[in-house]
Amino acid sequence: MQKFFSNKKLIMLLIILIVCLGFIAMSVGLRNNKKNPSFIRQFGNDVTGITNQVISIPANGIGHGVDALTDLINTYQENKELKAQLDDLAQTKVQTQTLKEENASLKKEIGLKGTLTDYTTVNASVLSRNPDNWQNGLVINKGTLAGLKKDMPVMSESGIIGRIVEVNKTNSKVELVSSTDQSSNGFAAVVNTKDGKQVNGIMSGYNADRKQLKLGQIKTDAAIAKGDKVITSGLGGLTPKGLFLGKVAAVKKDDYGLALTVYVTPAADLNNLTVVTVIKRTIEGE
Amino acid sequence: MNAPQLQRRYLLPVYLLVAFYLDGTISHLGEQWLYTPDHTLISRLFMLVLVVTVFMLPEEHQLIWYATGIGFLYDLYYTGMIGMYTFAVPLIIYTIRYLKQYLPDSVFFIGLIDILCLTLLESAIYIMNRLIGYATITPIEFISNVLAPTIALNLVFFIFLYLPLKYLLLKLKSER
Repeated sequence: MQKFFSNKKLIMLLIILIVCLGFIAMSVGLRNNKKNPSFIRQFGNDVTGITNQVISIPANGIGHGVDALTDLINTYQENKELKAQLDDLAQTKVQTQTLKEENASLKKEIGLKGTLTDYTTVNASVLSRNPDNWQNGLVINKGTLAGLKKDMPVMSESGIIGRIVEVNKTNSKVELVSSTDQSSNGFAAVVNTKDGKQVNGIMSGYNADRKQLKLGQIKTDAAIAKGDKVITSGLGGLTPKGLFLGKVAAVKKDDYGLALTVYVTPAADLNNLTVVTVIKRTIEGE
Repeated sequence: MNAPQLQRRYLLPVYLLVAFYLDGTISHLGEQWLYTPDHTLISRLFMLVLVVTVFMLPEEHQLIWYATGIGFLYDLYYTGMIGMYTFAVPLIIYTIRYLKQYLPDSVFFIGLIDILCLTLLESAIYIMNRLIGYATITPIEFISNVLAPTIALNLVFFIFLYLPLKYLLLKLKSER
């Protein structure tokens, strides 16, 4: 009968533990700076990502087929509701088109190359999700080859869902805003109040119980009301201006009664993502 | 050493890889039901395959290395934090290979060992995430919101997949 832990094995275990802790520390360090992972890690990730498609493409196909079927049942109800909104939308669309053209020609006239609102998009589909949910991570099927960079914001159709935290050649990892990590939800944001004022702030975390983002340390006289729209302000980093984050759900005074904390309901459903859009800002900011 | 050689042993890593990818796919497709504010259900099919392999194919001496490989891949591909699963998974497999000699090979005990493994793995991963600041919930919340639902989900997997898995693994042995 073998002994469970001989002295030699105990020492080996300790050495392995220390090496692993070192690796964890290295990985955390890598996450917090701008560098891409080393070639070996990228290679491993790329190979894993490509083989993953053998499983994920048929499985996702079946899953989305089932989704489509349930969608079909809800279609009638939805159709009625959507028709009511449609007339309104057409008008808004035409107006936006006109404004966009006007904006472009005005920019041309004063010789402006790119502003904070200019961006291009890359569509990517979700390969798989990190099963242990501590980091709220997704793996998407585009990487540096498609021009992705670390810290780029990621959107679903309706709003911002997170940020890219690791880029490989053909796939990258996205951390959702619901993560506790500051780097994934620290967006510079603007609240557009009903009386036309703008209030700047920075997202300071996610409240898992309320499923809401926190916009902390706001000092303002403007009246922020429930339902006000919150968008990115485009200040700092790689995020352009005007991406929809969500709507104000509640406004609270902080513990000392000096600053406000605004709770924002994210616009996007963070638990139903199949296709995401990565946003590339036209002008680079450091 | 005249232990029976496994024919087609190269299929074992393939099973493990399929389970590994299925974990991600199940989490992705079922994210509406698996991840809610009240509970987190983590799919751990690769652990199930490893546990059943320990009992069905005790002559597979490479299993610790497979466990290390799967742990490393998990760190690389899903979490991006190398060192957590690479450490925890092989250690757990080593432990249950040791425990196995005191236990009968019945379904009941294999299920029990599966629960034990999940408890060890989830706790280890939780503690490490707590250390680096990704997990903020308290240990009590962890047990009620993450550990218990995860064990429940994986027991369901165990009940449905035990027999097919046993058949697949024993097939590696019989065709000599």
